[in-house]
Amino acid sequence: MPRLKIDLDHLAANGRPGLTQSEAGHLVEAAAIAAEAGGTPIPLDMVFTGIKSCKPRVTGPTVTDQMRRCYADLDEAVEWGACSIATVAMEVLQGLTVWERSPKSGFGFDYYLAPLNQEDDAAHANFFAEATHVLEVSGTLQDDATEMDRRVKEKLRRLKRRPQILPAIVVVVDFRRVRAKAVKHG
Amino acid sequence: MASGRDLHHQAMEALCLSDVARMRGDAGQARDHLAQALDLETKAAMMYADQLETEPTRSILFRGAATVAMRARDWRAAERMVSFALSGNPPDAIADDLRNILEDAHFGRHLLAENVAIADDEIDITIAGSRVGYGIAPMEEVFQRAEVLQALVVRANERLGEIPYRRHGRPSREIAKKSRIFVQTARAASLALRLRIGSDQHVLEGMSEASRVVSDLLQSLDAFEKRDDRALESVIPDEAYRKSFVLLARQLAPDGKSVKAVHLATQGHDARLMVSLVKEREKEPKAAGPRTESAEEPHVAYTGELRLLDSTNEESEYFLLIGDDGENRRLFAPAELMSDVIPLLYKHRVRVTVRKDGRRLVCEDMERVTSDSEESS
Repeated sequence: MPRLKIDLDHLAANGRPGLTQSEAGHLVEAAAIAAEAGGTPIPLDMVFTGIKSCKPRVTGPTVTDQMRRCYADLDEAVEWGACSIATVAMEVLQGLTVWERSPKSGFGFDYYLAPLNQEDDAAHANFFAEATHVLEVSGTLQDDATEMDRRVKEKLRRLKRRPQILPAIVVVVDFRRVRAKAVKHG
Repeated sequence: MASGRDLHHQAMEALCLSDVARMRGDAGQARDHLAQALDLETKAAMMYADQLETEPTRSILFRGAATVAMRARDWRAAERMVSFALSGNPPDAIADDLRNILEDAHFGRHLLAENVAIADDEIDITIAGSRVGYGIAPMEEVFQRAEVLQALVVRANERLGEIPYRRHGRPSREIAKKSRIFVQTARAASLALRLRIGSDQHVLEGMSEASRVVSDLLQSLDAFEKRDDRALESVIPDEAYRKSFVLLARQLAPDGKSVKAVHLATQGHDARLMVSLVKEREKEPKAAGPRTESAEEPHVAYTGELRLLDSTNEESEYFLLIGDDGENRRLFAPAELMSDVIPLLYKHRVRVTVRKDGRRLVCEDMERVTSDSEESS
């Protein structure tokens, strides 16, 4: 069986239906910065648990000084980096891709997912209706082994308390321990 | 002509560029890209203004435009976008988000439009929620929070005065004096109070001790709301003070039922500071002493009336819970809970989270139960 691969260079080069090339490029660069800050630069093997247990190879760009200057706010870079890993992981693990984005309160985005093979009809006015899932992502660099599970629990708790328009997938990426957890809700 | 989807994609790209510029420290470019994102997302949403049945796209685009407007601090634009969205048929989940944005926009606009000037030793506190009307709210929801703020100010004054954490007893006369809180005329908002600390006279020049406390308090609350442990630790390095702060801040936070948001604002040294507490009180305590996760020692919740075992003994580590189940329980409380939270909740109905530690029952968390919260739970 071929080894699973999270190819961030492919994401940066091609974008996705709901991510322009430029946006995808920023997310991917942030992942490289976050991985370096966590002590394991890309390429790396990341342990995934939750909806699927596997250890995909994560490949992507090499960090440059210009990138370090650009993503000086490490907390935010970690969140963005987690989004790029989660985006490709959803394609590999669930066959879902980022269909659309919408800004969240504060900072960051809500990601709406649709099946990979969904036809992209540019003329369809009700384009958010084609999404089948919402993706909730978080990243951490904290030196705390329980932090990833705590964040997953916290996100699930919030999802349970409020009505949702679509089933949600929660992904938390721990760049320090090089692992991630993905769980479904709804 | 660009489609709504094209405009939306351009808006998201401009927003992304604004975030990148902000991370790089280029505030001017961040602002320009943000304004561009607002313009584009508004245009995308307005293409759907009359398409009431095109859901969820219509309401997601209007919510997006309102969210970008909030980031740009354009409260009026946020209100307009929310109003367009709510005038259609948004799904329940999105309608909830829209109402929350509207509350925040009201608060921001209220500070601007009414030309409300806050002195640097004052805090504006506004609460909003299903049981809070325009200028009217259940008394207990308001004054309980004012009491919690009073306790937070006492602790901030002690900490900034480099006094070791007081585990029991009352604050010194000097601390009590400069921690006095004065309530000014309430103004109709959701429900707004203005509190002034330390003196009934303003200090005219320079940053007063009270303004340092207020600024410190809002920074701490901001870190608390973001659950940013590192930021909180940098503002409050002492562990006992930090635990005490988290316990008190949780009493200030919305319960998610009758109160959905608590907004605080002050005039910082060179800019207005604002914190919105919208995250509900967590059911799982984070700061009230060590926890054991073993299956043999589960956490149990009890509800009942809080009483002191011996009010003449200030060093007592136990209190009494007259349980709704008819049982009276003698519970051990960590110092931060005993000295800061229990005095505020004495004789009130509370819900406690308890862990068994050998033969004793250790109270790890406590929150007041109001009649409203019981009704709606």
